[in-house]
Amino acid sequence: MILDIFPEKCTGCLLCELHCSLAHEGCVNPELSRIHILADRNRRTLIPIACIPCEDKPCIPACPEPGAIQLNAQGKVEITEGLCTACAKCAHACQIGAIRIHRLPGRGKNGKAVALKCDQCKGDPWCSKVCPTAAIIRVDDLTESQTTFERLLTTHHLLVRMEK
Amino acid sequence: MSGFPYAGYAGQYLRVNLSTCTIQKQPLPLEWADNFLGGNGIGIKILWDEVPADVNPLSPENKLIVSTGPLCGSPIPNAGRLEFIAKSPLTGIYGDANAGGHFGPALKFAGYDLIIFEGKSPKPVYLYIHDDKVELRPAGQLWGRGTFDTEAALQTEHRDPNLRVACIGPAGENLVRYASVQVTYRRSAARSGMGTVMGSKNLKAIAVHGTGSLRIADPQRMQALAFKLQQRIHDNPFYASIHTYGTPGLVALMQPIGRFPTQNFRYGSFEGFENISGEALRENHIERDTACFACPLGCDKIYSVTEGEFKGTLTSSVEYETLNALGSRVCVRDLPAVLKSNELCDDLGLDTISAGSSIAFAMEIAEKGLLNQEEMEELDLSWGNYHTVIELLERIAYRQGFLGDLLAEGAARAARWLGRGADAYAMHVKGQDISAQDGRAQQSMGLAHATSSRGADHLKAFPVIDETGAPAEAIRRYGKEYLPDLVNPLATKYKAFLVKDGEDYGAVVDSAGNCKSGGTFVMAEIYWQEQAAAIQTLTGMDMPVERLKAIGERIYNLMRCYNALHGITRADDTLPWRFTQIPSPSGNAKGSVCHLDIMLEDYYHLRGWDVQTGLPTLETLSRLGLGNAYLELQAAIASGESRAAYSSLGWAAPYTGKIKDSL
Repeated sequence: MILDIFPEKCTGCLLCELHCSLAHEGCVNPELSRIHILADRNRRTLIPIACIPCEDKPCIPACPEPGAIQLNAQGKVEITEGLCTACAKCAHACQIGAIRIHRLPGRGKNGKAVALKCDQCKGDPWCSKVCPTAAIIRVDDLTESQTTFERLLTTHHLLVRMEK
Repeated sequence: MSGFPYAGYAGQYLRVNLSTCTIQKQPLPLEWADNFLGGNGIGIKILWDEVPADVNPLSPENKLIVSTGPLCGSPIPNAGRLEFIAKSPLTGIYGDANAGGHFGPALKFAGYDLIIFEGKSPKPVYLYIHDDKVELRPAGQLWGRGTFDTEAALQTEHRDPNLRVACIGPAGENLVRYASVQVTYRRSAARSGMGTVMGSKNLKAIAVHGTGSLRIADPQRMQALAFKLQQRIHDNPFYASIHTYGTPGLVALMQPIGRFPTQNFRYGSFEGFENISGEALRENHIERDTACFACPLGCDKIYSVTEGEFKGTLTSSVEYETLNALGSRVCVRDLPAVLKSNELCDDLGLDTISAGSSIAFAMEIAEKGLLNQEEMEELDLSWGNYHTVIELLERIAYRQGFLGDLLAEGAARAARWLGRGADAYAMHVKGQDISAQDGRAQQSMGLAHATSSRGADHLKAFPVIDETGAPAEAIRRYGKEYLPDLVNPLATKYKAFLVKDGEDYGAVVDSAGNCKSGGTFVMAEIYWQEQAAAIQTLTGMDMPVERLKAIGERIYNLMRCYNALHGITRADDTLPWRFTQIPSPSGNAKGSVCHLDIMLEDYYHLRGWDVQTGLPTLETLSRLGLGNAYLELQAAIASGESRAAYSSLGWAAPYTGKIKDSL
């Protein structure tokens, strides 16, 4: 399964972020969500960013810690928090910014910080369940992943250009 | 963090004294949450305790409370609202304004349930909050700038595109009495002049970035409940219309029932309605669907004008109320012009409803010959002249010239100042302009405007189920026993019941932090039962429905006491002559007047208020734990304090006498 994302349908309601943090952290905190809605100042461009995952998965070879980030049996890219040093190499390798480093006491290998990314909620992602406009959907056809990736990358570039 | 016993609350609040430039972080009193929940519940509690009757709304002694509620920031559908509460410069009595957007939750995530602003800064300032860091900063460089510019400048200054901003524009700075507060993204807390209070305190903006977590008492049940409520809203028959058109979808629904106020409420339908309908808006101007925080409906939208005189206009959250106030109320049928007016009001920081009403008032008194040539300052005040509307919005915001300065006071004050019989054309209750409902076409709305705690307002009671008749919704809420009268817009029976229930529930919604347009009233998927369950699951408070109902009733009664402290009585629960004497000339309502007095009798009985005076009785207030409020109120009445306060309210009472003009 992959996440397919359609930025033009996103309304910026942030329900995905709220439910994501609630499911993963047991509290509501958009900052700790594994999915993030990027927006320009007037919200004419909105873009949900989460791990699709993409075909290349450059985050995995970028990681210097064996086993901290790997492909699991279901084809999802997973971070093992206890092995993660929060060096941010995976985050830099991800072209769409789907991995973020968070300072969280007691988390990660050194107990200070950890990389957080989408784990697709064991196959039933909250973000796609609660998205009111089907801007985020789950798709079983893995061949779609490159199209989605390129769509996000294009919108992302557009957003960066707008901000400049 | 705080040792506050309930989840869902941040557990602390900020008290900012602008005169002394001091900021205190204080623990949230448990009693506030237990008895008043949050939002405008806590707001009225603070006003009652701290802002007495003799305080001028524009003086440093007035206080501005910016308050979230327990649901604010949670994934319960539409739980992103916040309240601004103060003594209103427009009405002189209790005032509040509510906004969606994304500001309220940010304040909560930063760790504060509310902020109390008191005093007056010697120079323009803004409050900057980044979690624990809270500071007052100079805003001289922002003073005079529009709200769009102000928000952008603050985001640039702090290098933080996610900074959430609540700010005023030139209208608030210039003390226009119905100035709004604009919050990210371009949402308005517009009514009652809360932006005016900010201006009077030299407070230009509040900027917040919050990164903290909202604690949930029962996370798993919370998530399941939020999801279930969202699905129920999605499955509701009204969902498609609100999702597609937002409140502008109402234009085409209100027109045939004669409830689309036109030409300063002379008519109940507008022959140009199709030009300014939700359908026309979507078809010709939609740029993108957007939504407030946690809202599955997304009635917020971005609109643009791509050709013609108003090319380049970019505006969002265009509401039914605005299409009426700046459209049919002044007989403008040019949609791009209305969008331009909306954009201007948002940038200048004006309430579109009161701005449109003031201009309609001006057009009508000009028509009646109550303004001389010199006073009209070469403006063509004929109905439908949108260039005049746009010009006047600018003049009002800057108080330019005779008319700008006059209309900046609002129609009700302007009428008192002018004399000349102009009071007959100020369509208001208790100083606040009537919004886009007509009590002749929907009896319950007439009563709602008359009894609303912030002066004329549809949103306090928000009686929507008899608008176009929604029997299924009525049965679900109240059972079959009240049909068919309850859903008949022209019947008066049970309307007091509908209004009282709506006022109590509305007080709870405004205090909890969810939205009246999204699932609580129009599609009451979140009604007493669900709201109580949401609050209990989120906070861990024991919240049976009966307790929540008592909280709603307590809040509404304390608002009434506060108004009574300022001399408000039954005599002020009234409507202008047009609604009670002149039969509606159009639509389903043709021939109907608003039978206010019949409904008022019922209303006071249901409320447990004295039928002669309209004041809450000792018995009622004691039952709600407000016995002391009764004693304080009676003392103020006996000492003449209330009468003194009433005499300084400043507006001309709504005209209720006989009138020659039949329309």
